[in-house]
Amino acid sequence: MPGIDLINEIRRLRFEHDRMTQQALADKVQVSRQTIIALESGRYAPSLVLAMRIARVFDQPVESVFQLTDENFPEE
Amino acid sequence: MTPFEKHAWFNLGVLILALGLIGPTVVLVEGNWYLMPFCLLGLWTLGPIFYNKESLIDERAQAIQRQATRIAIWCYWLLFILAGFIAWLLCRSLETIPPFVIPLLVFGGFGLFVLIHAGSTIVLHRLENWYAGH
Repeated sequence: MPGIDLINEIRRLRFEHDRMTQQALADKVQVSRQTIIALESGRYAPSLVLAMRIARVFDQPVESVFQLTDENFPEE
Repeated sequence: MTPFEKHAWFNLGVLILALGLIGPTVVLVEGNWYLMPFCLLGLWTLGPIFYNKESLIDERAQAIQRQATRIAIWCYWLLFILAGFIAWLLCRSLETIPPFVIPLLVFGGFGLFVLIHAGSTIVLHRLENWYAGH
């Protein structure tokens, strides 16, 4: 959808958590490493369940890991 | 390789085997037995062996699979209409449709769907992996 973008802090959070590898994170949230790569590069928007699993791994709220940058839906 | 890719390669292998046997059957066997190799397509029912409990089926792979299905349905429908039109063009001067036309359309259509679906699955996964490497 045009104008909608989901950015994330996964890469930064991985490095802050003892330089966790993509494979380690993938194993923890039960997806493939390619999915983590696609997420980090912004080419894939995760399901709510996956987003919550990732946030739980980093012990962060979901909105700290994922931010919606939608120019048609500004923050109040 | 995801279970979806393995399944796609398996389906392609079965299809190629069946089509590869059609030619020799036409030459070597008399009668209407040339459609017999299509029975090999029944091997497609063994596809679920690629999805066991241990295999990881993540949501991105499922998204790719859905995209491949959309592509295959779109191509199938387009070619189905085209095949119907061509069949009408070729058979309109005949009093009846030759008996081989219907099974050919059914087997051919289904085979084409599986071919496009398997091909799309493999290509989309390769593209994703290629993007991941860059």
